[in-house]
Amino acid sequence: MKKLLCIMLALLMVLAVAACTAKPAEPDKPAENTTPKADEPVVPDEPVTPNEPVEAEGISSYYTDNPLYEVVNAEGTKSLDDYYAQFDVECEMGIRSDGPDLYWHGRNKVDLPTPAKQYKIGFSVYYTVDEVGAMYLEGMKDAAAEAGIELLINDANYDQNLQNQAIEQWILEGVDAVIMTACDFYGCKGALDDLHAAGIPVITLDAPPCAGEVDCVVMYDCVEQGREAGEALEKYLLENGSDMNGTIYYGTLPFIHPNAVTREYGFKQVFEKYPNVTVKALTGEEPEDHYTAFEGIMQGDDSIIGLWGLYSSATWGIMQAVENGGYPYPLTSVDNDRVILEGIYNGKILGSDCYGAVEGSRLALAATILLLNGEKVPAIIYQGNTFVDKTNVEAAFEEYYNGATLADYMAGNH
Amino acid sequence: MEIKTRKSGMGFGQFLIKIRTILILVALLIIFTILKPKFVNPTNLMNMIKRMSYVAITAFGITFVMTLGGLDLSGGSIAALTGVSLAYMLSKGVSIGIALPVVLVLALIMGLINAVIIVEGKIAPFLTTLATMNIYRGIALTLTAGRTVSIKAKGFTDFFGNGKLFDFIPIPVLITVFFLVVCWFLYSRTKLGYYCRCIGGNEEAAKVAGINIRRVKYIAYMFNALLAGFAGLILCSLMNAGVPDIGSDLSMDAISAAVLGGTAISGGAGSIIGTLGGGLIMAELNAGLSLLGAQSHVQILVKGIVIILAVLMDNALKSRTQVKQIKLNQIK
Repeated sequence: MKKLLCIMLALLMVLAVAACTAKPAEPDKPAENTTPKADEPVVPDEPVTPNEPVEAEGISSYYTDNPLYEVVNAEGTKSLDDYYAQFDVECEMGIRSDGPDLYWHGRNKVDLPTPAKQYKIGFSVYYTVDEVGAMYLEGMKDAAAEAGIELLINDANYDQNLQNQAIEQWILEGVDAVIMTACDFYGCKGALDDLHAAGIPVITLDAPPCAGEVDCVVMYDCVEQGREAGEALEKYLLENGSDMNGTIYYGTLPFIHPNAVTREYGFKQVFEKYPNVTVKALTGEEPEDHYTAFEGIMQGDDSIIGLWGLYSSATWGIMQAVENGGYPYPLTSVDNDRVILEGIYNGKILGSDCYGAVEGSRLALAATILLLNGEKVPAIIYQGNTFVDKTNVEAAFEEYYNGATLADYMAGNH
Repeated sequence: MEIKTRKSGMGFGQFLIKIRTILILVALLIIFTILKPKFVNPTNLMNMIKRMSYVAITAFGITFVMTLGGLDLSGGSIAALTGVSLAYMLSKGVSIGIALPVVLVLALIMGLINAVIIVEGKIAPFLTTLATMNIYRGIALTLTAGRTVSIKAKGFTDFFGNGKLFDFIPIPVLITVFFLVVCWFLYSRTKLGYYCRCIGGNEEAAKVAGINIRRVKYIAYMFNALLAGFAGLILCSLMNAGVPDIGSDLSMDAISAAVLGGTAISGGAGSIIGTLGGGLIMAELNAGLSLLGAQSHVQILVKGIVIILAVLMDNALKSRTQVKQIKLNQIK
């Protein structure tokens, strides 16, 4: 029997080795993309405050009358398939709205249009055990109450089946529209198909789905987020006399997430011009995974010149590893959880590219109301990114957390 | 003390505890219907069962393993690797007729690996399957470089996930019923189920009685893995894709369903119908709390409380039975 055990263990090893040596689709090499294609979303490099109102044929005056909306693609995006193909993310989705793509520069000050009647809208949020998800939900509840919308809520607890189930239930309840932040970018297709069959419009918030059809997408430009985080690190290194020779490590997820690959792309673009700078990924999910990974690499690699947390849990873990080990490496981030903002205030993080969850909820609800009122809405609405550093972190905290102050948070008054 | 067995009458309290799964099911049905009348809409109920199908099928398998005193934490990873392997093969142009049996054999091999390490290596099932859970998940992630692999075979996804009989009964519900019948038969009407109960009740006695313990354990772990593989096929059909990180809670949900249905963690007792009831309780909680718009925190909390209550009832039933038995023996 010991022989059998040995054979089985050998088989297990062979399986593991086979899996490790199997050649997966090349993950970290997005295709050259200097000229955006016609059907790709176009986002301005630098957010500007436009003075001219939006000019786009047929679109609701709610958008054309507000100078804080800027047209970034007059044709409007019909599909994100080609866009994600650049990052080797398989995508087969469609956007039904034939409006343009807009960029919103107004941050949280999203006025809500008046509903033609009292609508019943379902909002399914992927998860509320993280601050962005929780703020999406809080922001949506407040916005719905403000607009007189009957809001049905589902917290999917990161389970696509639960999210699909909730949407099936809402179809039975006769909702007028659904707003969702998808748990799984492919697994939501069943729910989207069901909604389409039932003639119920759907608007997505945060990372758009990679399968199925939606009416409108509210998202942020993740390439810009990665780029701004990279530029902040580059600026710091240059100002502090770095010879731009060494390794930058960043913490990311161990699986492919559309937001992650796009952020990576933007970040790496910044350092392409430095031939002696290598950008390397370490993966993990929870803060402790990143803590362990970075604690190890910082002990073992003397070539490190900088660090980046691609999302909040990564930044949190890296920040603690740097602090506990007493390392001098500069750290930048994307995401705006409270612990990140506190880290910026305390000088542990140079800065983080942030976005407003409440803003996203209000943009999505506004578009949904307009759609139900029978008006034409944009295909994609980009919510703005803001680079938060020590100079604006307190104001950012108040904005992202509905007026709560960083000082109160740091004093333990949550 | 002389030990005698005697069929004793069952008190009303004991009877209630005995049928606790049904009671909890009915109570939840009433509560959720009062709070949300749409809860009892037939389509909603059918969708609810569809969503629990893969948990129930995994739970049927784990019932055999737990009954013989074992445990398997790797079910979710087996489901993920099965689904990912199928999607990967389909994406490479392998026909579904070849890919399906291959991935089911792969699931059996994963069960065999678990069994070999547990039986021959004499390593505790908890530790073994904790390790293989990570290994199988790691292989799924490595094979796909963390990517989700979409499935374009509509016939397959319709059959296992999205299709409906008479435009009303979801196919996963029918698959669940099929496995319910098969597992009930194996568990209640064959030597396999009987041997599992004997081994879980007293392994030494089972050995003395001439039961081939090794063989039963091999069969149980492999059968459990096969069912987890089928659950993986349903999951990837529902998702229209092979998702390497899917099913991370599947094993825990399946174990919870089995425990809620009366399967003893210590082994020796269980029931396939009870496990189905446990799965339905989990499904009712998911669907009901979802309809009520409860947040994740509340859902997790409520599920935990229900499981604790079920286990407490189980223990109460056992201790009452033991006390009564002792009293009867003393009278005798």
